[in-house]
Amino acid sequence: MHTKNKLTRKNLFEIDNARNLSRRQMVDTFVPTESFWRLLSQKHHVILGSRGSGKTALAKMLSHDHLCCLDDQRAKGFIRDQEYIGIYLPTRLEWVGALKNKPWQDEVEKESLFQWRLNLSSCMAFMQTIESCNNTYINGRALRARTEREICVNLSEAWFDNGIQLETFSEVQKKLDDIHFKKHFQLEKKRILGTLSPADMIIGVAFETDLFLPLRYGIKICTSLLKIINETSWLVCIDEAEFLDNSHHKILNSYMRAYTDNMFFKITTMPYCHYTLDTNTRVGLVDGQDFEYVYIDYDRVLLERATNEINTIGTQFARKLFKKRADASGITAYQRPISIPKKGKKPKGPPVEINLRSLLGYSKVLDPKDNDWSIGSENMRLLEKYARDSTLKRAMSLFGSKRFGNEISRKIHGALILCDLKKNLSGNMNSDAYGGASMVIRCGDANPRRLIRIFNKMLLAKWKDITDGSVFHDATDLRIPQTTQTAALEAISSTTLSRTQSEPTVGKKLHEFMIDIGNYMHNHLHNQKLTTDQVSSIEINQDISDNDWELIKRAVGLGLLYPNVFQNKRDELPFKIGSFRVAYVLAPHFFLLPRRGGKPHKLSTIKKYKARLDIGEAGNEMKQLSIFSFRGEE
Amino acid sequence: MKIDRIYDINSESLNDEVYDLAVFASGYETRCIYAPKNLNSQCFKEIVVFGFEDVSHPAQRRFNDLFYRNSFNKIPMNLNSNDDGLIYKELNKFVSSNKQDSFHFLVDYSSMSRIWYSGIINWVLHASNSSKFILDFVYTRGTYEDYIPPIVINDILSIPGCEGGGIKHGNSIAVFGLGFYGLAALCVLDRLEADIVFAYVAKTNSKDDYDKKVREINKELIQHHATETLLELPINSVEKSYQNLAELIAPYRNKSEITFVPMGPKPQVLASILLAMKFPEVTCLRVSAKPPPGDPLDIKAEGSMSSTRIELVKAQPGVIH
Repeated sequence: MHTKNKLTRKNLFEIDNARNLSRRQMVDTFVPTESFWRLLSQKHHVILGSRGSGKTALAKMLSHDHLCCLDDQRAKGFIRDQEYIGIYLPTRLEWVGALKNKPWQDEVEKESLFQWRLNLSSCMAFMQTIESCNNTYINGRALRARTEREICVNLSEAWFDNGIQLETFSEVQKKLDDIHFKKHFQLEKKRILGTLSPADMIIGVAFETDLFLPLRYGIKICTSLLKIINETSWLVCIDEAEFLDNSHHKILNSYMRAYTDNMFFKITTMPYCHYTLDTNTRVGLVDGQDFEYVYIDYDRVLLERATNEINTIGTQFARKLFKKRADASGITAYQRPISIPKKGKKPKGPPVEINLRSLLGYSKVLDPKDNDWSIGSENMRLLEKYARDSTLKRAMSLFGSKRFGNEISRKIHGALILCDLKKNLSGNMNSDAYGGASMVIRCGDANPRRLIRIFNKMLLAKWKDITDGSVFHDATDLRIPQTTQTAALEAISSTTLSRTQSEPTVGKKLHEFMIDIGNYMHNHLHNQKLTTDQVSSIEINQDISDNDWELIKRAVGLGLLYPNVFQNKRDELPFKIGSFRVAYVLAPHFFLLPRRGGKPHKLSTIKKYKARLDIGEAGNEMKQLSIFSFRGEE
Repeated sequence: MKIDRIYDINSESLNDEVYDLAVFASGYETRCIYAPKNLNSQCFKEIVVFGFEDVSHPAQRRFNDLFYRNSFNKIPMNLNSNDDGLIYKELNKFVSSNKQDSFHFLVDYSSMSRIWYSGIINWVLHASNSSKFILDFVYTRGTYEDYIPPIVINDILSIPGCEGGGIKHGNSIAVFGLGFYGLAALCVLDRLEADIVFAYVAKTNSKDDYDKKVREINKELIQHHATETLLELPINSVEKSYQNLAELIAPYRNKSEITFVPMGPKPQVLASILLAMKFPEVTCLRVSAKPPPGDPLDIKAEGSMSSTRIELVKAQPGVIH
């Protein structure tokens, strides 16, 4: 057997999710957003975000052991004044997988096992937090050790049987772990034998109580022993709640509704995956009153939607993310000094700044250099070639005026270039349509995981040069060819789409659904004459079938569609009525322009188009599309 | 009971043994009956056959059932592939009517669901009062079609007895056993968000292009997500697979969350299950799939068997495993 013994990796772009970063890496690379500061408040929050949007990073950064390391004055103030103490509690796939693998249990047994495990797990998570509090608020090693002992002895009395007295945080943690395992052992034994001996039945009795009671008791003990002020708000950050089910959410909702003292929940889940507002009482949870939703996908694209400008919040976020990761990875390239000796080791000059622009350059499609729209210019040639007659006529009527720029050239320029690049692509030619820093950022949809995957793929092309100390004439020596960038983005685009095929319960249908939408948009862009309206969104209304609505919700969860939400209702997800933009990451696969614009097209129109294709009415058009739709697929 | 030893045995030597009980399965695969056909039925004092409740490929299933009736005078007892209840019931019944200090079972797991064969091991671990228990697991290698369509995941659950430990704050480690369902593996990977990803493929001795095909199907996971080198585990050896996987996770045990996601051949699935049963902090997940439309793949026997012996001994009171 042979494996690489790589316990530490310098390239942080290889790690695309927050759970995998060490505390130091996580804090160093975290980009605080508006939503993050919003969560530091005395409110219950349900944080909605598509896969990879940074929910875990938010939840983790709220925890005391992370927040206390954040180099930010506001965060330092919260820690110093003991305003908020966060506990990170992940309900991971493995955690939930062990709850759901007991189909023989009835509803009552299932609920009590969930409560028992959540009680135990919250105490395990609490141990991490309390260790951090002990390190932060107690000065001097001797006093810290004494406090640790006192806390652990008190917690042992509260949580464990047989008068056991543990003295260190790690001993308590281990004991909790043992109880967790023995409980599963007990359940399995009961399943096999039907009954248990009285001795086998006594496992973790202290956790068979009201939800979060053992945690609250632990907080009470530590508040007193660590001299934490009574006004402190304890934030319980439950991560990955999308893996829980309806009944679990109902239990959490009941808790959110019933308790409003100093414990606040920050629950992360995917859009449309806060499955119910029901509680165990007759009164359901009220959005805005008992809790608030925070939709984080909206957070970073806000300005872009309003302005369509390149230097948007999303762009700034992507650039910050790249810089923080690059800095934390220690990526440095050096300039070539003025004189280099012919023999021996090449000396290094001053460092070259590595940023996205130096690596990737400009986009042909999104940052066109040529803005000449005079009669006979290349741009006018493209307009005459690809635009619809009515658009051309309007362009000519506005020619020379300010409105020409706003209403014609700004809206159609990218589409004209993209159409021409596609038209001129033949045989085995490699496309360079999806190169350039702005294109790469755009195709990342301001989704951190997506951006990091893309950055990593791009960086790999230059990684060896950067890390082996190669010297460069200047930053442009670092540039990755646009064909390489395009190939990388096309591959990411295609695999993002193809992996939906196995998505639980809806896989195949979801894949076909997204292909139908993408093909429709492709056809609209490349097989019809252009207008200033390029279709990038779909529209649905109340008539939508349950099946299609389910597919849309799942696509939003996976970040394949983004709801076009209103600025004044930015945390409100549309329910059956509304419009949804196709994720820009899919643009390279379908050869689309990653830019929002134009009116959304009705889903029913897209379905009719698909039906026409299926019966062959579209003739040659269908042939082209069917070839295209498999392009780049594995 | 606790797992004491795991080692490969020569399949030819199975006919020299005397088994208190042989457990077989009847389903839609042709290979269901390869082992019972090729083993000497005189070696089995008692036989039990479990049948898949959801009957697909009715012709092949009828043929398999007919074989068991004609050869062993047994009619398969039907149960759901996700249910182990009947298995526990039958094994409890068998042991209560056969009072002896040690037992020797044969389990042909070639066509069994993971829940069934992990259930048999769970039953021995939890219910047996014997001083020694020997389980001989027999596997018939199958042949596969050239194209296998992607599956749609139904659920991702822990295998009973392999639930793993509680919350850890160290790294999370995922070990993927790669098979023919590369997209499903990626879906699980997306959900697990593991820190360090290991992957392994089963290596065959024969000249077919099994491992090449598996590597191709899982290209994305291998190239872009498996942060460590791909392991090759011998398809016919549970013993070596178990040892290699145990070595692999050894540096991470006690401080990391370790999750196995075995999606390849059964001997490596069995090795992963045994590891998760041996080490309480290790989780082993199973990915259940929606049955594809049309007939499921009829896996035929390739013509060879591999066998593994698991010896279990009485655990000290109060000590788990």
